[in-house]
Amino acid sequence: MGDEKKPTSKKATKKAAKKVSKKTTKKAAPSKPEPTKPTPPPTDRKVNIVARPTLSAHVPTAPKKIKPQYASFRSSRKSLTNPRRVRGGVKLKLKPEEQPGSWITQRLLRVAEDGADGQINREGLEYARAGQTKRLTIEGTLCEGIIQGRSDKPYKTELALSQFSAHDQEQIIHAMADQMRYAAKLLAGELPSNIEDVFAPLDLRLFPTEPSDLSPTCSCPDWKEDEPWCKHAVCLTALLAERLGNEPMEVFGLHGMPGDELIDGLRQKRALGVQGPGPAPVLVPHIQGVSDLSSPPLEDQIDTFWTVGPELEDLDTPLTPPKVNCVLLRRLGPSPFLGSFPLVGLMQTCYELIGQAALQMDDPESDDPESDDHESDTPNQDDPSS
Amino acid sequence: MVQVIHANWADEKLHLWVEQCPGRQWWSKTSDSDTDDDTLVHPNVVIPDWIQGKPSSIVLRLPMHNDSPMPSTPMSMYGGIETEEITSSGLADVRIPTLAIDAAHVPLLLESLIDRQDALEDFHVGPGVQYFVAASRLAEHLIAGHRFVPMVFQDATGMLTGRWQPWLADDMTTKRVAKLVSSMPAAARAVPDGHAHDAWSISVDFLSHITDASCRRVMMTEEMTDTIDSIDPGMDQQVAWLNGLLGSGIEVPATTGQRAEIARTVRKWIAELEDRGESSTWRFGLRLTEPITEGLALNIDQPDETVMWSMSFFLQSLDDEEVIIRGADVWLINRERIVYEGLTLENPQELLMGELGRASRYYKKLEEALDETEPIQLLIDTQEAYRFLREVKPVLEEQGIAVQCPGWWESQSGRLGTKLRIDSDPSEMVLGEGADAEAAGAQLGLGTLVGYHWEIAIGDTTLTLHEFEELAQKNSPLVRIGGQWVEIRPEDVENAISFMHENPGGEMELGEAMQLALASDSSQTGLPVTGVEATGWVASMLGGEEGVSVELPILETPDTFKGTLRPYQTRGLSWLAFMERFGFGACLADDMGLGKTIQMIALILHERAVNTERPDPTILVVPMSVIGNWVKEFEKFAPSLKIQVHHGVDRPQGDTFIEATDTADVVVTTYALVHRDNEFITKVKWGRVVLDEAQFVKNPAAKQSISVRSLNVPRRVAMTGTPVDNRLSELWSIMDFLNPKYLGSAGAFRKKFALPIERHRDQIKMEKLRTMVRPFILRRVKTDPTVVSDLPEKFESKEWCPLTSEQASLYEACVKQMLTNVEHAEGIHRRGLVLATLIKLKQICNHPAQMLKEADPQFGKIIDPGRSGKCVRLLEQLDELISEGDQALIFTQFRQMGHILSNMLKHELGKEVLFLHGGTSQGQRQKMIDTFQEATGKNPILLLSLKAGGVGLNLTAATHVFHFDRWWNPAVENQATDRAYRIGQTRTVQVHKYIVRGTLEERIDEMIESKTELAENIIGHGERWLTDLGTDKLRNLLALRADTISDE
Repeated sequence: MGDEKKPTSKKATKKAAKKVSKKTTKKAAPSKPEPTKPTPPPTDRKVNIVARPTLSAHVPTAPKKIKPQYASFRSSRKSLTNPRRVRGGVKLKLKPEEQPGSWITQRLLRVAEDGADGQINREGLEYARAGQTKRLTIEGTLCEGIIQGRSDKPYKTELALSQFSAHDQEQIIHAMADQMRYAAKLLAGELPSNIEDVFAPLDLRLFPTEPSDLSPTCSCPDWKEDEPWCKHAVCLTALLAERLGNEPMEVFGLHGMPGDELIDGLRQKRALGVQGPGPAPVLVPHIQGVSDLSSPPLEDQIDTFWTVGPELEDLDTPLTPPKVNCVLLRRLGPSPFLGSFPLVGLMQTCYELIGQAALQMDDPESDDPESDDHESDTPNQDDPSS
Repeated sequence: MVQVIHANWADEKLHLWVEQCPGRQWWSKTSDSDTDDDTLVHPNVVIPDWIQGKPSSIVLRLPMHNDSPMPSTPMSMYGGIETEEITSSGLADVRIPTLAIDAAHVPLLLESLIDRQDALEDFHVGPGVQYFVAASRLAEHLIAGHRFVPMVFQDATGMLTGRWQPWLADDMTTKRVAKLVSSMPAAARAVPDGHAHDAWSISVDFLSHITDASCRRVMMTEEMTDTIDSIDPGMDQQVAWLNGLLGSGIEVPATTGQRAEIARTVRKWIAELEDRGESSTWRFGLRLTEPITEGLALNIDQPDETVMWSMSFFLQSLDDEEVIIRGADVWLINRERIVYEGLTLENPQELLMGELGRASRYYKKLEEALDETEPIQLLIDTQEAYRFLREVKPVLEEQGIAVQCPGWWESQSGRLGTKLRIDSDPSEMVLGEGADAEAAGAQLGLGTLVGYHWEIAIGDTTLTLHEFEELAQKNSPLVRIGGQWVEIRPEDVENAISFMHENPGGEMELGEAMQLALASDSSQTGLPVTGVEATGWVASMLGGEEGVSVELPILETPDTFKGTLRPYQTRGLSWLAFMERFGFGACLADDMGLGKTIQMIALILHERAVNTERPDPTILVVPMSVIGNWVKEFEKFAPSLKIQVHHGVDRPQGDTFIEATDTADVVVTTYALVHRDNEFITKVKWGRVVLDEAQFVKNPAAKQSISVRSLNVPRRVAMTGTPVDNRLSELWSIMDFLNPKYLGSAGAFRKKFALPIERHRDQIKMEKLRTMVRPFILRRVKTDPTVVSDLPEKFESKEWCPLTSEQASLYEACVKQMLTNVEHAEGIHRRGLVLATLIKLKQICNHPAQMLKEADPQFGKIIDPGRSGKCVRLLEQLDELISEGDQALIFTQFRQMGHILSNMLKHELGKEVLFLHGGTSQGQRQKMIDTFQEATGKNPILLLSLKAGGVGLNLTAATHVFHFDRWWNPAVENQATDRAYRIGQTRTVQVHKYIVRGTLEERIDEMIESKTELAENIIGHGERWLTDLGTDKLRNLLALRADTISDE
């Protein structure tokens, strides 16, 4: 799928582009930024990126903003560790005692807790909250962190998940395609909450459940092959936990199965007619509260089997011309294709013709406006005797 | 033969199948399975052979009982099959023969099914059809509003196809889609296929195919492929895509390598529509502010091009839309996190910049702001501001960007419009009463010529044509008039100027003027019509909200009226008299129980009181079932009037009839006779025609409707208790009777109003129509504050019902036989005989089928209500009260009658009917009561046998109580009535006591009313006293009185 990223990638890149400017900030400078020192557009896109890895071209020019950097950094008196401070590092947002919002985050934090002993775990989490991680990247199947400890040079820490073989991948896609609900959600770029039910029967794990599932490595002196859970590993795991909580689809990439490939595979599979009928659209919009709800089993609706829901009464569908002509086309903007054919111009004509035709209500009975006797001459409700 | 048509969507086709009435013991039927597989074939399904389609078959998972598919709910309701006691044993696959319809034909076909249901009595559409009709209408709605996108589909082999898709992911659409999908009946998703019974999946598939078929049809009609014929799709991927969209072919011709690229590009492009900004808790917004005009408030000559409008930026909380942080503050505060009003905004500066960037994709001008380091605002000129408001604002809003603009934009006061001014002579209002006024009034009406002229207006300000032309010359879409900005659409200006030149004013018929003012659109005038202003009597007629103008002169109740009118009834009388005086047909449409009858009687008395010469008689056309009521009401309230009842076998014919009308004040007759005796009825010079239960002329082509309209009568009044604006063909028919041609021809009306309102629930059209008819309809409902204070908490009325000829002959035979037998009987034997006869007679009065024991209580076949005068009346009243949203209790002494009614009402009204009787278990009782008290509108009727329902129950959800037959003991009846009329009841309770005229029911009622000693006996001892009467007295009491039978 090349450069095509998950649906979130566009936002990600924009954010990334803007956040780049953070690095060159002067502290507490409410005045104008220094015009002489604009942030150059980053060339190495992985460096310093806080949350996400790539930058795409069509984002508007990044604002040249200077921002104070230390706003929410507070040194804790109860600090267990005393590392060199890092500015603009990646921080764990989850506060101590706070319950993670995502089960995925929760799961990974628990794995780290199981792997490292209590003290190391606490220190690792403190590193994560303090923003000791200068850089966090997910590159291919590897999650890498550059983490600043007490010594001059930061350590390099890595996490890796088991790789899904080609055979595994086929099985996974097959199992998911069988389940309408998984397919629909995944196609819409979401991870269904019971996703792991698909993996268990295949003897695979999507999210780690054992410390060994993450196989941490680290360049620090504390790291040992048989005791791989140093505080840097905990720190990196915690950050990954939060990241995957927000971007769960990234976990597929860590297994060597990029989300795009999964979605394409699913689309193909469903199109094969194993389960899904007919070809599938290349884009399935997600509609909260509608497309993500599953219908109750037929068995539960025997009492109301033949009854339409009450809301149908309130469904108004007036035939009115759009307030703005071809409004969707306007929102779409110029044609994304390279060809010279005036696609958008032609589409505009199509929209107008189709819309006009729809406004002419199809009704054979009122084709002749003069005809008054369109209703059949059925006997009226009458005196009881007649 | 009751038929229910069902629909399912499978294999890209709509499958139609017709369920036939299975009859009793439906589960014992075995089907002959002649298919290869073991799937049971539905035994009661036929293919609708009157539809064009491809015979096919599908499998459905259906609820079963004893290995047979259960009848559908509409089938058991309309077909009279009792399924309440029968539980389903679960679901099973059933094969159904069907007719498969291509998507292209589906919308029209579905509509034709609805029309067919309206036309045929025993044809009903099932829930599947209802569902897909709604879905198909939604697709039309989306197409008309340009809410669809071109899309690419990919199949297993990687092949691409083009398809037009509805775009469902926008706010205004998702609400509708959510309503649709959540209402999907299980029956419509019973096909076991890849959709896995998922409502969303099936609905989207249906909408997608319907939309594609509709769009494609237009593309083919317009021969759009001509535009790409000469271009090689291999050279331009856009052309390849269009190949799958513009013609009948769906294939997108592309090499394997191109396919992936096309699919990816289209996905990425369309996905832009889903980009709603990056914060889920804060929304970016733009605020357009009009130029500050100091001291230049009123200056048309101000060159508007030179002033600048400012556009500033802000962030708005989605948790509390009141919380807004201005862009300028974001830069000033300069923090990573802003906490304001308890809401946290993270990284505000980044969000602002990012969103500004996003907005600039839809509004290029914003890129100028992006060049600044701390963008705060953008300045644009007036032309640009207009373009922004008109074209950009809606687009931004749809992409999740808030836009705030001055309040005048898109408000009535901010848009130029035309106003119609109608001048009528105010002196008409002060015309005296009496013959002169009457004569003058008869000249008026909708045909009266009135003076009119058009005005150009903005809000309350009126412009001369000259002023307007000056404004137009400025060539600016936004101009300031009187210190206020006003939109002048460039496209409107020319039309408006030429319209004003062509229509300098003058005279036209009032009807025409009202149509123009109330229901025209800008296509006729070039400018939107923003209102009508009238003077004099026309102003009074256009009236206020309720239809009754404050200026309406209130009349005194005529002295000859024996009774008291409540205040709202006096207003009703005054309104009717006013409308008549100015020659308008009027419709009195008050709720049932508000006394339409006595208002009408008062009008006739009033007319006779103010005129020195005797006015021409009124012909009152009513359904047979209410003749008795009218006669009784005239006797009671207007004994001075001479009432001639024209019905019965020996009614006068021809000249005899005409002569008789000379001395009559009112002639009461039926719809059937107006048609049958039309020849001589039309020869009479009538002063007024009144239609009671005017919904009887709802079918404009029916013979009765034509006959009624053929009466050449100067004054026309219609009375109906059903809210006419819910039944549009009825409304048209009544209005066309009252004020011919006012609503246009039936065909034009259907196209302009009936279809958009009935099919698509078009609220704007509905409002327009309401405005048009409002002056002619007076409708008060029981809950109106002005009415409710006048109403008692409970009132009783007697419903006088006729006997049908079948009932009459049974009744007479029964009386005769008893009289013969009692001659020779003595003592206990005689008493027994009399009692048995009394019960039989009461049963005959209820319905012949009850006495003849035709009904089977469990699987009651449906008994024809037309055989009983009481049943006919009951159905009329129930229909009316249900349409008003009320609920009713119906008491009967006889469980047997309860069963008959239960099946009959279900069938006739299409509503479930609850029936509580002595055999109902305690659990079922409570369930029924709860269901009824919930008042969802689905179970508006609760039948009770008097013994079972007399005490202990609290049924305050009912506002109507019917005593279908009488106990002749007011105490017992009141106890029953009090189920509804008790603590917790907040509304007026109406009690209807059914009495058949001419029979013992009427005789006994008279006795009770006379409060004699005999009455005491009756009340104290039930019916025993009757058994002791001598034969002569019995004969007098029971013999049928003449002229009370409904046949003619």
